[in-house]
Amino acid sequence: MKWNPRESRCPITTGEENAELLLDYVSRKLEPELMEAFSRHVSVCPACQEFTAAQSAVWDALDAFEVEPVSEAFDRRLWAKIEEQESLPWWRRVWNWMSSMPVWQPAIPVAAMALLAVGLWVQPGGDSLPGTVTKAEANLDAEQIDRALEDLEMLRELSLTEAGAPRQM
Amino acid sequence: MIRFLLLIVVFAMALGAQPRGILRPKIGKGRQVRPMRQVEKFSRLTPEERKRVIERLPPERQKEVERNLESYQRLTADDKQRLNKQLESFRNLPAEKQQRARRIYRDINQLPRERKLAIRREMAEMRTLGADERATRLDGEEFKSKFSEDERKMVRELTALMADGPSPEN
Repeated sequence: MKWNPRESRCPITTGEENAELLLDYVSRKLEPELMEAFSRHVSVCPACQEFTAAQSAVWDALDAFEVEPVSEAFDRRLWAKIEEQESLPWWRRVWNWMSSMPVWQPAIPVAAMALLAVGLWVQPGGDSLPGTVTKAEANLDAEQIDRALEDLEMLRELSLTEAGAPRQM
Repeated sequence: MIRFLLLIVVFAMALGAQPRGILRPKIGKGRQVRPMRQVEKFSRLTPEERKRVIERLPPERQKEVERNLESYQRLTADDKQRLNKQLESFRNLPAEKQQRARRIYRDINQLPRERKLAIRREMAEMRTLGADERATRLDGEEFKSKFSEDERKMVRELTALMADGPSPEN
């Protein structure tokens, strides 16, 4: 919704579409006519006064921010650091390089957790390796299963139960 | 970061080094487990996993387990539930009666197909009758003419077990 100077409605209460208007006002990017009209609104609107005051404080702080000049020793320290890196063993340089890559940084804890998960997964009995007994299998007793299935079939077939369809005999 | 990683690695290795029996359930002789739960878990395994579970059974029992499992898996959820109750009732019978029922069932399975079917039909019929009607039927001429002496004995014994066991309404 575009702010209408004639209506003089508060842009804060009329929706987020007018946030840009407020920001442009604070940064003084509005067209002169709109700037003047909106200034009149701000002078009577406590909500807009509060918003523009807060936003102005941010702008002022940014304006006041000064970048410190690079010290004369900066280059010397930088080259010393590079030489120090080059004198490290190759594996240490690879590690440092990987650690310095932003893309690896989130991956490192993930990899660590994956390693932990593998440790937890493998330990009960070498689960999914061929020829080994999985945790699910270890919970089962062949004789009990055999007996239970046989009992179920007997109960079903001999109408000791009524459940199930007849099996081909 | 390196310390953190080392800590995790050491922790994982420590867990991995635990004796394998610690997290294993103790399924030994004398421990009662719910039979249907075992069957359900078994039915959810892959064929390879199932094969490993039953590999220490004799080959003919392994085949029978697979055959019975296929039959079980064809049942509807309602039938499985009903059968579960029947099995619990059956397992509450004295052990010797359970064994007798299993023995008779295996004997019946040795009979020719048409005789097995005849016994199954007779048992289904018996199930619909009350105790007095069953007794009358077992003494009737029709029953004697339809079955051999051995078959009649099997049906009699099973009918007696049925009277002790789960009720038809279950």
